[in-house]
Amino acid sequence: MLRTSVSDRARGVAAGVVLITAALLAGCSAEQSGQGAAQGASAGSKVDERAWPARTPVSGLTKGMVLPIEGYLISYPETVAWQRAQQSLWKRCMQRYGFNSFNPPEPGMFPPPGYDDANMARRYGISDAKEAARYGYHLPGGRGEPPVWEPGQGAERAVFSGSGGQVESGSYKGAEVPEGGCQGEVKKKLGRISYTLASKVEFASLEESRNVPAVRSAVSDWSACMKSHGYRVEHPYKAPNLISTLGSETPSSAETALAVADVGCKKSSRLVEVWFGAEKKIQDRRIEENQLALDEERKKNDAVLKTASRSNDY
Amino acid sequence: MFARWARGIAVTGAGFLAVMQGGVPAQAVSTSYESDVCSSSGNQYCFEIYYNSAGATTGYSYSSCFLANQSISDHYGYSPNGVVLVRYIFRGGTDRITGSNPGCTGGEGDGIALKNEAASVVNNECSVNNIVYYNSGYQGTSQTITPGCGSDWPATNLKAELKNENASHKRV
Repeated sequence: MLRTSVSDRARGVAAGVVLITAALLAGCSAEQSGQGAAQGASAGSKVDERAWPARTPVSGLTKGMVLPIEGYLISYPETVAWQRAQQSLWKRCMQRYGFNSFNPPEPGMFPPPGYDDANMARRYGISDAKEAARYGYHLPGGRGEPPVWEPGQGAERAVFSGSGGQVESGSYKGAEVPEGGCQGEVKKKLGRISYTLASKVEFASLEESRNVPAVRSAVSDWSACMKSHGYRVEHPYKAPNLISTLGSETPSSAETALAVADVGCKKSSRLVEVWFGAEKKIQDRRIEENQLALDEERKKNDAVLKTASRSNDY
Repeated sequence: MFARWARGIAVTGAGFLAVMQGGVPAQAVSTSYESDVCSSSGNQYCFEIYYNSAGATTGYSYSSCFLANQSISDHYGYSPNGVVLVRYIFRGGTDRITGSNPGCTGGEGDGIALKNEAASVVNNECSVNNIVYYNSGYQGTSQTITPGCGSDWPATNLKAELKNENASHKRV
């Protein structure tokens, strides 16, 4: 089944394992410039869905925390399902014109830290003491990322996009090419995931909660705690500005020391717990105020995902 | 507001010294500016980050842009050795993208720092989602943009919390 119901999602049942394994992320980024073959991913690699982020964080200070609006956001597994359908439809269309090696790298090999755009695992900044001690502000497992891929030059690209020297008067080797090429055909068929209201509720609670006295107090306590560790920083979101190694391959000892203090102070100030509680209250209210519109928006995306599911089952 | 220190500061120009955010060493004396870390030929299949919002009628973001097909954990830039400093900026002025995409043509935003200054994005990569984050190190609230493979249109405006508050992005 492609997706669970909103009520299932809202229950926040932990599914899968949240840890992003070093093995999974060990692949190197690479560029491809030819006929639809990806480099940088090992041949025959399979996506390990157990490495995807869990719906509910399973470790750290956000363990067990799911915001009410997450039931209306599109999750990482759902975007992967949509991508799989997109690629499947692209490939089938391209095969009609003889491009049997048109084969983008499969999605899902390099998951994000968060299950959805709420990014609970790192929403209030880093929040896992063990990860902080080992990785600082870096993501666990290194900097591996999906290979770069694009359609091959010449006829492949022309048929895919519907324009280029090889497509003449809307046809390729006598066969009619859809408007906008295979890409245009799939775009029309599949539709696009889009949510603005759910997104608005998701981020508005962050903004509004900043002025909640309990949150301000917890932030102040966190800052005082950081000062006792030798760091002058007023807000957790500014903590990474104190180090210069974010772009480096591995964290420095200064980075991990800062990260450990950061998470430790979040724990002693109860910052994450307080902030989450404030956001939850705000979101409950906003969801109630916008219930019908939110349901409607979710239904539209469910229809897109249902189309995706049918394409994947094909 | 958070991290508005860079708002509106044009960072190009000779003699810029790194009076810097956070830990990037203040003694860094050699600064270079980067607006294109996309290896796609003609920049046709890149993740495009724009200074301006998408046009209400055209759906395109006519302004300077930053091009990438790699994850960036800090939109400020990086210092590989503590002496050299690389700053990420928007560049515009000429059509930087081949194909039918007319974006990235305007001069607005040219030379402005990338971090906390973006308004819209286009994901013209083919096989990855790009996720924009509020905070560096892939922290804070985020926004996922699915791939359009050269024809992602209309451009996606960043949500209010991320508009002018972009700090990192990740390919997944």
